[in-house]
Amino acid sequence: MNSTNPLELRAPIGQSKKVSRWKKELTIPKILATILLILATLFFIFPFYWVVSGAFKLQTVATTIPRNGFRLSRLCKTGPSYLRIPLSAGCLIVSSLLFVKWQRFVSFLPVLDMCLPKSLFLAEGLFLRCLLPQWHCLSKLFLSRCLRCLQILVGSIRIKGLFYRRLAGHLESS
Amino acid sequence: MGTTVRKIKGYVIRDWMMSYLFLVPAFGFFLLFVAYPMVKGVYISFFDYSLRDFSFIGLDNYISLIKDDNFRKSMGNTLLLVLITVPIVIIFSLFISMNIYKKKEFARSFFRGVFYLPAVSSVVSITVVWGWIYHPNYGILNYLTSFLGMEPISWLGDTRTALLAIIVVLITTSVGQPIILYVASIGNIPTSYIEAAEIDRATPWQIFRKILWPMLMPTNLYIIVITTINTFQCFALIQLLTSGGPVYSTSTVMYGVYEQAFMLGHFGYASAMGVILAIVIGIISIIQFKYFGSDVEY
Repeated sequence: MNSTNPLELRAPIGQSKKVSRWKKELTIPKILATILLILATLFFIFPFYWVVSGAFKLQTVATTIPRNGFRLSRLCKTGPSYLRIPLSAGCLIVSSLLFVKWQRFVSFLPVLDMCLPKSLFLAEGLFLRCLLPQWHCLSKLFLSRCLRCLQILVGSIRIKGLFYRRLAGHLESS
Repeated sequence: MGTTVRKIKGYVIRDWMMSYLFLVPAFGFFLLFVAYPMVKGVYISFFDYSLRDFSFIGLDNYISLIKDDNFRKSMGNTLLLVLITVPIVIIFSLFISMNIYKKKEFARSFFRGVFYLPAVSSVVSITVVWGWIYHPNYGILNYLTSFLGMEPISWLGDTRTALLAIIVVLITTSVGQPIILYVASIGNIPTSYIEAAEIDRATPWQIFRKILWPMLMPTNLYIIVITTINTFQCFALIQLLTSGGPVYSTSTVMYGVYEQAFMLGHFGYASAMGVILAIVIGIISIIQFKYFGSDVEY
């Protein structure tokens, strides 16, 4: 019969693993729910933005698409170079959020993103341009961000490797 | 049980008499502006009432309605509108409420304000904006979908998309009140029930299914009934966005009533449509009361 002292089973004082409340409460459903909530909020606010911004414009300007000063049009004209900034920032935020949850799998991704941003974006852009020539630059970049998020979600180095091997193959062939 | 008796200028007035006296003004207005038009509407529906004549025709208006393809189409559209809109409004409102009720007061007020904005705004201005959004030439929606390589779509001019476009607008204008009510109701549920369930290791879904949902039943009933009636009576959106078109694909019974009465001058026929709509709403409300009308007490 094993006689263990119950006091020995207790973790030594000062060595108990501390998990912050924020980290403990951050779950994938909560992140998704928050993202959906923000998207719904934007969807509901948009008509009011449109009303208010249209109220200060002439009829001809208000009924023109893209509206004068509408940032998306500027982004579209200048191409992916402008888009990299907000999209990569978004990617970094998502990566950071997921990093808290799955440190083991995704810890290398922010490092990778910081070390090789330009080349990765250019490579992805070229890859998608070859794969989907008819798609608009915005949709291609959106897809590339989705792919990146998918990689992070799956958390598999294998998929990442396969993706970049394919990418390298396409780059070499093109 | 004794009743208090007062004497005013020599007249004996009991308490129950006073109660009825206080009710008289409100009851008078109700009779004049609600009950009388309703009865008159039913009465007119048995007449051939147009700008030219007023003659009794019995049930002919109702028989004509049953044979009328446009009415059947309008009723189908109305039912489709209700069947799609009401569940989406309930689910969306619950989702938003569940997400915001635990947030801080400022965030809660902000989100409630945002989702309640379309409900407090003028339906006309909101609808005009949505008309711009859906516009085939300078609409923002086509501008956004062009990034996905899609061709411009006439959202309100195509029979396949027009009703869907109306439903989206209707949902945005309908969720404000349910969200406010759900947030208040969820806030009133004692936290001890949820805490007890959490101690028993109940999953969030189990907590929602076994505690929150049954306790929200009275609110659900109210929201379902009100949303259903409002959706049945949807008129302004359709009048401003599509005027029932294209090819009656967005015409509802309410729009049909307006069209028959004020555009074609068939008041008897329009009244018959209104009576049928009221009967349908009544039947559906009874069914809803039967299935959702159970109070839950723990």
